[in-house]
Amino acid sequence: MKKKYLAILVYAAMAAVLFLKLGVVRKLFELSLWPDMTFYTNLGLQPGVLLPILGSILTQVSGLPVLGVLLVLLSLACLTSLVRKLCGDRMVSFIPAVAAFLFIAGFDYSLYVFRAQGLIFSQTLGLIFATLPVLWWVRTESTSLKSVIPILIAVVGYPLIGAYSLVSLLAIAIKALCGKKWLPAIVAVFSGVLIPLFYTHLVFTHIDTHYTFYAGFPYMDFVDNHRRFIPLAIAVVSLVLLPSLEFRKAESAKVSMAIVAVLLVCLGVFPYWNRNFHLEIAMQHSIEKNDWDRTAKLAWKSAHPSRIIVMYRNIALMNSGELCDRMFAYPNESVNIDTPAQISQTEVCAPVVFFYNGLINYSTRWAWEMSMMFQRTLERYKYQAKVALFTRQENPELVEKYLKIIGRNMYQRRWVRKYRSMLHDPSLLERDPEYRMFSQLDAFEELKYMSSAVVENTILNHYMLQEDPKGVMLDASLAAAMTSKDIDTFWYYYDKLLETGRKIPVHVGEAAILFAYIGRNQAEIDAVARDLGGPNSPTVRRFINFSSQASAGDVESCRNNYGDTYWYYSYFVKSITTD
Amino acid sequence: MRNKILFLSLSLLFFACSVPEGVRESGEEAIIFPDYKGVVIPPNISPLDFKILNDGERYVTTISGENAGTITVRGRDVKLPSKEWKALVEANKGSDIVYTVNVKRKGEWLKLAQFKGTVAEDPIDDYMVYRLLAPSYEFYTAFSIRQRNLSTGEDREVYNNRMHYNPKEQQCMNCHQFQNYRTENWQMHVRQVLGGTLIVTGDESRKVNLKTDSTMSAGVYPAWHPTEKLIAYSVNRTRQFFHEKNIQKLEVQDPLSDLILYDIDKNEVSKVAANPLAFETFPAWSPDGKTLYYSSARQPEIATLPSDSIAICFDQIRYDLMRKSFDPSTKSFGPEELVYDAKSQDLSAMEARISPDGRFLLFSLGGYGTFHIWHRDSDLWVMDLESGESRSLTEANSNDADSFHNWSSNGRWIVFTSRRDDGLFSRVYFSYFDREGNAHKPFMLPMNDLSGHKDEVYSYNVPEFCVEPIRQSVKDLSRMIEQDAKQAEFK
Repeated sequence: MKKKYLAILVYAAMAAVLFLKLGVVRKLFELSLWPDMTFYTNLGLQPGVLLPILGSILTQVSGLPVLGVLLVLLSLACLTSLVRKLCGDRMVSFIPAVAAFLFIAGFDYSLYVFRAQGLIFSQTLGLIFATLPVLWWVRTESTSLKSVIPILIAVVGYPLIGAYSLVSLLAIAIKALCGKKWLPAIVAVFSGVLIPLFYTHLVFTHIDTHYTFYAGFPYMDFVDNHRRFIPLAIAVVSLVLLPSLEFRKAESAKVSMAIVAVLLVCLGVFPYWNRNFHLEIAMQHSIEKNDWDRTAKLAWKSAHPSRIIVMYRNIALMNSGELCDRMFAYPNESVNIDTPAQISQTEVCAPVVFFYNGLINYSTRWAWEMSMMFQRTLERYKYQAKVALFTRQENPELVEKYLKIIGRNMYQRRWVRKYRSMLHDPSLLERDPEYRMFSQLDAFEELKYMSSAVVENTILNHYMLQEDPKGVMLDASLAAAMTSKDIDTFWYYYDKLLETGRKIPVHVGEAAILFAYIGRNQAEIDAVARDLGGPNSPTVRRFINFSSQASAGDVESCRNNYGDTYWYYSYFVKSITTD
Repeated sequence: MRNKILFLSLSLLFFACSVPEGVRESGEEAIIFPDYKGVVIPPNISPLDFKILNDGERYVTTISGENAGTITVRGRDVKLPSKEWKALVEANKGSDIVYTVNVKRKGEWLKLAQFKGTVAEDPIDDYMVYRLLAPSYEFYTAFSIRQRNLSTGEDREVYNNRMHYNPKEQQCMNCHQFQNYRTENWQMHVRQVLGGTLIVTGDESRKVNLKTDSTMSAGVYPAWHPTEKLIAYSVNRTRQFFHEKNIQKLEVQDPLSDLILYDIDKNEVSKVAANPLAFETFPAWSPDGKTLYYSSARQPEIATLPSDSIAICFDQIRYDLMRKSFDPSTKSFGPEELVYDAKSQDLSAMEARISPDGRFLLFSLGGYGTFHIWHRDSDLWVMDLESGESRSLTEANSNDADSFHNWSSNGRWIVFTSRRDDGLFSRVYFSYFDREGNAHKPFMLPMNDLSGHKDEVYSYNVPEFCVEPIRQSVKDLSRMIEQDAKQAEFK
């Protein structure tokens, strides 16, 4: 096969991976912001500053995920093309780009806690900028200029692209050593050591000098998650070594095939494919579009959901009025989020879950905390803006401030227009479905000792402590009592439900008959049976059948026959953990 | 030829900045940000640039002094030339300056209603040190302590927490404070990474750990004695919780707090006020150093403390202003004395600050609690210590939280932070305090970046006046912070 086709194959594979991860590309866009120059002038000026700025700009341009995919591929093609000019071999030249791609495709839950901005592009840009001066040096024939170029690279490159300028210098030093050009090699090494130290001691006097030689790399973002950093390290090392290696084209055809095969395997294996991670992103997107059907459908796709999926699903069911009829028909587990990174489920989903459960103070709190600890992002500002608008007590200037920041992104203008019109015309706000739902959920008295540290616990406690919930809030209280298997609380809200005269939802009926039997109180059993349509009602009969199977300890059979009931959850789903 | 070019350039410059002809008086009010209309300003303040918010295609603004001087600036962003501004305010000390904004709208030039400012005779201190940070609640990331030269507008970083950056644990620094407005002796706290209290005395520095076995915490809110090498601190067991629904959002509480005195030379701490049934906090010395003022609340009856339970009664904890006499020669305190009874009015008085002439007591008053920066009803109040009368500084206050106030060294200016602009991001404001004890409409700290300011998402807090710049560089302070903390002894 011609090398050209092999190259196309590699690009196609990368494109395919990105299309499968289109939701993640969209998420990276939502978790970015148009560069805030006041941040750089006030607080964030450090070597390599060009990379996060350009990275953020490109991420913000990628408001259409497909465009993001194209830009990523374009930047990788640019890198490949430059490396090819250095090493001569088309297939080998893919190594840094594929490694850089795997770095991006390997983003796991860390992306919620990235401190470095524009990371989907910034490191590829760093590699591109590192390649350019090496190319210049290689093509320069003047011996004296070859000794001056490394100084220029360090002087100009270090402030702009940080440690990536040192990658250039290292590549040049090795190339010069291989060619026995001692002076340029020495100059490159000394420039790479002394000039950055000069900068951090005399120019960038406000940064920690320990990071002199890492500036520009995302060294704060993979502290407990080193394996996700490995592809980037490979990209950097390959970029340092490739210019010094000579490839003989005639012999490289088979090697090329082998390289491509390896690259394709890597592209299939090493991206982060965790199902729950991708589902959570898709579900959040659906929730924010108020597409409750799709959100609920997505929940079915995980047989072993995280609590984030469970909470997202419950939001959808609550909004479609089916919470207590369907919530236990879905898988209910508490699979931990799959990452060694230091991140909790609360940090992943708190602004969303709190917002759609009516606890908007906590939503805004977590949106801010995440902004402060990590990055200000479009997504976090959107929650800030909506909360500031929904409270109707905040200063309109504050809402306007958030809208203005969000509106700097061209893809958000429509969103901003919608909420700005609500700011100026409260009747539009009253008609907003999210606001209407919030109004129902907001009908509670403040409890003075709540903690919002763990999102699910907070929500369950919140709903279980409501004295007189009505409507959707009553369903949420019953759901919380059932989830917590809190029998006394359940009965409190069950009685409230009976007072309303509403039809008893499926899972509430299941829980009632179960808890009545657990209480061994015949009068209670009879009363519940009456509530459910009599002792021969389908629910009561099915429960009696379940009881006999459950007491036989046949879990598999119970799952097959009763996996859609509260009884199965109550008996067999143990140790729900969340953080 | 050269002369012709020079003439042409000067002519262009002249016409570019000249007031348009055929202007019609519109009577429309000029809307500007920051709002500098009707404010009293110091004669040594850096240019008060502003942005015109009225609609228009072109803008020409003229600022004329009652005594002398005129500045004409074109454009919506009114950026005033520093030299001309200095000359203008200097020439108009004690009198007014008049602002005229002309707007071109649909081809016609309109003159908006003129507004005035007044230049006071009294200068403001040349420097102000403050913290610049995002208004986070419990967590934080990059932020810095900065110093603003109020005369030139120069703004430099004093220290930032990225100097000792650690992805797993971050560094916080707070409570910078100076002895008598000078930077020879000053202090700040560093928390978490390399934690301790940094005390700078002349060319020396020392990092100390003020937490002893006999005190509940390290020093928190500091007060340098005006003449002695002594610092009074509160020691606090601080908790905070986030409101489920309340618009105030965050409540910072001290379920326990006392006062201590730190003797720098002896490296000793001793107790000043440690009533087990009271929460004493926010110490402040009188200018003669013979009285220590502070806030004190009685422990609510409901809270026989499992330490978090006072969260339940957060809105019933109210602080009065108290004082104790102090004898610098024996370093001993007299009995506690009530200065301002806030509790009986169902109010809470915090952060006593005595004017340099010793006559006025400035404090913040809110409905309850200790940390008024998060209380929207917090206002500045002043008490005349001669007459005992107190009143709200209505001229300076707003509908949002006004707190963290301080006096300039000549007692004619008050600095404070306010969330009045948008309810969340606190900004620094200055108010003239005249000889009759009246405050005047405050003005916002002049902005260096006019275009970004209104959208800026940072808070300014803990503004402290100084009469000279801080002598250490960021790197110097970083090295000082790296030293091991010396353990203070309890006496």
